[in-house]
Amino acid sequence: MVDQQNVRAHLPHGVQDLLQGEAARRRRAEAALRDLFSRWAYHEVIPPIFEYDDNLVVGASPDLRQAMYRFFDREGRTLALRADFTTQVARMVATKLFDQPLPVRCFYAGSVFRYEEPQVGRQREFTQAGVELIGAHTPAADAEVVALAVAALEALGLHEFQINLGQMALFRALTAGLPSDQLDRIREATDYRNRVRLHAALDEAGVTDERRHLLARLPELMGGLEVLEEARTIGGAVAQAAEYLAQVYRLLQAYDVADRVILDLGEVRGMDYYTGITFRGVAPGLGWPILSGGRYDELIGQFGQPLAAVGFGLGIERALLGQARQQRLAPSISPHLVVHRCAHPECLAQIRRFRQEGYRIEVDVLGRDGAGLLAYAHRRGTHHVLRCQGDGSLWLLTEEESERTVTAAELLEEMSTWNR
Amino acid sequence: MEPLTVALPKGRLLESSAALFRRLGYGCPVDNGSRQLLVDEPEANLSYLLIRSSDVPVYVEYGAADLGIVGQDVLRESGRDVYEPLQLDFGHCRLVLAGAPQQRGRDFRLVSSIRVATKYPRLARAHFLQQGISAEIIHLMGSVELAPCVGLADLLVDVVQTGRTLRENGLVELEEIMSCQATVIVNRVAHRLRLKEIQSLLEAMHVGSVLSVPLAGSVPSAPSAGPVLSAPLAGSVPSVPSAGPVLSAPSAPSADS
Repeated sequence: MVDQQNVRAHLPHGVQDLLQGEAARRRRAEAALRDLFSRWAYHEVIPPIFEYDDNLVVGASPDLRQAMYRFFDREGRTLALRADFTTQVARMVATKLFDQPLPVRCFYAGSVFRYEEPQVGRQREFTQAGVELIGAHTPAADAEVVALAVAALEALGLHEFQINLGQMALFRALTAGLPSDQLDRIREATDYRNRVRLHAALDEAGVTDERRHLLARLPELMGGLEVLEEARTIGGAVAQAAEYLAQVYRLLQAYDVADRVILDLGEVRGMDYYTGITFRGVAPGLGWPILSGGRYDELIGQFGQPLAAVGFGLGIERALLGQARQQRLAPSISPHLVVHRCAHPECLAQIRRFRQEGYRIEVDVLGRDGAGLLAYAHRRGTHHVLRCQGDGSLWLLTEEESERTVTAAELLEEMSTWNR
Repeated sequence: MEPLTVALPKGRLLESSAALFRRLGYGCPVDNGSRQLLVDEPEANLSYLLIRSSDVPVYVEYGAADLGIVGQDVLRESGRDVYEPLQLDFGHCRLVLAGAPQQRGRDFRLVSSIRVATKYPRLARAHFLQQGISAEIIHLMGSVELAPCVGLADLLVDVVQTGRTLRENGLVELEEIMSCQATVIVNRVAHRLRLKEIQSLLEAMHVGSVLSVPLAGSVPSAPSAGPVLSAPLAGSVPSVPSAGPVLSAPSAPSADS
C-alpha cells in the first residue's frame, strides 16, 4: 500500500520546489542577468517550453537527444520539452527574424529539461540564461560575447572565476581530412587530456607531420597569446584559426577582461556543434563549469537561413552554488515591518507610500493582539511591529521590549538605516 | 593558496601511491591502517583524502578532491567525467571474463542468456553488448569467484593480477576485457584553475613513477606499460624541493608507446 500522505510530500526525481529565500535568490539572479543583457542591447525572447520534437533535435548531440522528455499530442505528433534554448533561438531567427537588421542580439532565461541523473546544481529541470549574437562572423562579435560572459558572472556576484577560451576551427583545421572515427578518438583523448590515448589515436590515424607535434601538445596549451605560436608556423587554415583567436584575445584585453580569460587549445568539447571559438566559465569550489558557449555557424542554416552565430548559456543554479561558496549572502525575504490590522484610509495610504519606497510591509489580517503579533513577526524574521494611531501620521513602534511613538517621516528615515 | 587535495584509494593501490608521493618529497604518511582520513601536508601544500577506491572518481568529479589516483578498472566502471592526464607504472592488472573450464570454447552468442557475476556491472554490460551476447548481470560486492562454484552465475567478470584466486577456485580465464594500471585523474575545473601546480605535480609523478619500477606491491605484467606519458608536459616548471635529482633524468622516456 502506498502511503498517500507521504506520496504527496514527494516530487519526482530531479525536480524541486523553491521556497522563500531560495526562490528569491534565483529570481534576483535572473533579474540581474536580464538587466545586464538589456543594457548590452540584447532583447529577450521567450520560446515555448515544448514544441515539435523534429525542431528541437536539430543540431543536438546524441546525448542531448536521448535526454529529452517526449510525449504525443492528440494527433500523434511527437512533442518534446526543450533541453536547450539555442536550438529554439536558431529556429526563431531562421523563420521569423531573418529580415531584421543584422546582427540580431537576443537573450533568454528559463527552465530546460533533461532526463539525466541529477548532479550538483543541475536537476532534471534547471534554469539557463544566455545570449546569442546572430549574423556576424567577426572577432568583434566573439569578443563581445566573451566580455558579456565575464560581465554576467560578475553580475551574479562571483568574484573568483575564469573563462577558458579555445578555438574549434584550429582543431578542425589540424584534423581536416581524417575519417570521423579516428577524429572522434583524437578529440576524445584531447578532451580528457589523456596523453596515452591521444598518442595511440594519432598513431592510428597516421598523423606524422608538423600537425602531429601540435595536436599532441594541445591538451597542455593553456595560457596567453604564446600558446598560439606553434600554430602560426604551420600556415594555412591552422594559422588563420590561430590568428582569429589572437584577435579575439587582443579585443578582450581592450575590454579589460583578459585577466579573466585563459587561452585553452585543449577545449574541444562539442565539436559537432561549434565551428569557431568555444569557451567555458569555471569557479573555485564547484567541480563543473558554470557557463559554456562558442561560435556555431552551421546550426541556423539547418533551419533554412545560413547565418553565423555566437553565444553562451549559463546554469543559474550552478552559478548560485558558486555564489554561495564564495560567501554571498542570500537576499532577505522578511518584511521590514509587520503592521496591526487597520482600516483607516489615512493609515493605509501611508502604508502604500512605505511600499512605494521599496519597503516590504505586511499588514495583519487575522486581528492578532500585541504579544501574538510580536511573536508572529519574530517568526517572519523581523523585530519591528507597528500599530497605527488613527490618522496616518503617528505610529506606535514596538521593537523587542521597547515601545515608542514615531511620526511617518521618522519611521521612513529609521527604516532606511535597517539596511536590508 | 589553498592546498591541492589528493584523493588516494584505500586498498591495493595505496602503498604504491603513498610511496610515490613520499619519494617525491610530498610527505604522505598514510597506509591502509590509517584511521585519519584527511591528512594535511602543509609543507608540500597538499591534503590527502583516504577513501574507498570506487569513491575516488566521485570525489574528483565533484571537485571535493582536485586530483586522485585510481585503477582504470574502477575509473571506467564509474563512468565519471574527469581528466586522465597520466598513467602510473603500478597497479597493473587485467579485467577478465572467467568461468569453469567446461565453459571454454562455448559460443555465448547462441545462448539465450548467460548469468554473469561481477563487481563491474557497467563494464561487463558494455562488453557483452559489444559482443552481441545477451547476459544477465548479477552485481556483487565481493568474492565474485564463489558465484560460479555455487551456481549463482555461469561466468564472472573481475580483475586478476596473478590469476591465483581463479585457479584456487577451479576457474579459468576465458577472455581479457581490458588491461589496467593506476591512473591519475584530475577535476575538470581544478585543471583549468590550478594548472601550474597540477602540471608540476604531474610531471614529478610521471618521472617518479617511471624511475622507480618496480614498485613495492606492483606486478609489472603488462609489457607496454613503461612509457606512460609520451610527451613532456608543456610549460611546466617542476618546483618540488626534493625532486631535483629525480627530475634531472630524461623526462620523456621514448617517443611512442
